[in-house]
Amino acid sequence: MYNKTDLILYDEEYQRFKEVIDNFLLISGSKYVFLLSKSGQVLVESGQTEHLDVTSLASLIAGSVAATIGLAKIVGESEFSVLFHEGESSNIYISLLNERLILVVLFSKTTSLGLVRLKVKTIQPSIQAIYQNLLKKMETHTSQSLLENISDDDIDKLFDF
Amino acid sequence: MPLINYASRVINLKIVYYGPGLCGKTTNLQYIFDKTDQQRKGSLVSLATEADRTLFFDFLPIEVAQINGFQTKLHLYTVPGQVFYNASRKLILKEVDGIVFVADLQVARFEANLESMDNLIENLEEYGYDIKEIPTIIQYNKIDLPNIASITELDKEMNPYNFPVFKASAANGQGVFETLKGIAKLVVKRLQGK
Repeated sequence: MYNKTDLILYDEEYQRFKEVIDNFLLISGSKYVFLLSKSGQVLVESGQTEHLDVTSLASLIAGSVAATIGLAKIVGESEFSVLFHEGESSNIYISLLNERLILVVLFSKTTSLGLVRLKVKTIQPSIQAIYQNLLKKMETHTSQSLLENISDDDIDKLFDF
Repeated sequence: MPLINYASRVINLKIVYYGPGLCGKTTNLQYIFDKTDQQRKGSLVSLATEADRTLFFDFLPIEVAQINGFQTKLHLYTVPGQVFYNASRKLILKEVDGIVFVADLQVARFEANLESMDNLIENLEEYGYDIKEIPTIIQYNKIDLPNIASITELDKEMNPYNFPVFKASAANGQGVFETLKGIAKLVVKRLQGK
């Protein structure tokens, strides 16, 4: 049946994710890092985002990851957990963390792929722990306080601007 | 699957435009892009072939009004309609929150619409989704063209679950925003649990 478990990001987990990726940005020497849902929505970001169309980047990466999972299945793998794009001055390192989250790292020549890869591995357990906590919280907390208060009038006014 | 972000106070919703090849899915998004204020839209990303046919997807993010202080963002996607791109089409349906099925009213496309609807149901089932539980509407497009089928007849064949229906001529913009508003309201109502 249709999975009704929405992904809800609370302040506490947001701050904890943010601390982890802020720290990752420093120790890996990357330019920009973000956590993405597999449906292409950015959860948390850190680093230089000026002049970067993050929303488009996020949707393209989610599409690329989805296509890569499709490729993996065709050759008998469950997934390819890492994607790497190398450019002249910028590189993108993409890591599938679990069934819902993707970590994306943009870095330049000022750091190395080896260091980025190593540091991604070191933060994975922390991100996983926060995510597990988030899942538990989503089971017990509901978003009813937000959603129950939506009136039909609010819905009618969605496009009133 | 909506993403509700309490930290940045944003609700993100994914809406997919589905339908047979050349039915007007990209035309819907192009019109929405052209007529939406700059501050409420992002870039229109199109992954298309050199002949301008959708290869993977089109993507357009737009912002609508706030709900309880939460900014509501709609992520609009199209799928490639051509039959042989089914693997790509299925990928786009992952974690969908709402579906607009764009049907081509031309008589010659009658069967293509039915096949595409069957394909949609099948692809959803492969993810374990039941179309009856996903907010869905049908847009009968190209109403302005000659040689079109009867909406009543087409609806009888392809809409057994009585999804809401909108008439459109996407190339002229007729019905495009009505359709978008229709699906946005259904998706938010589902959030609300109605």
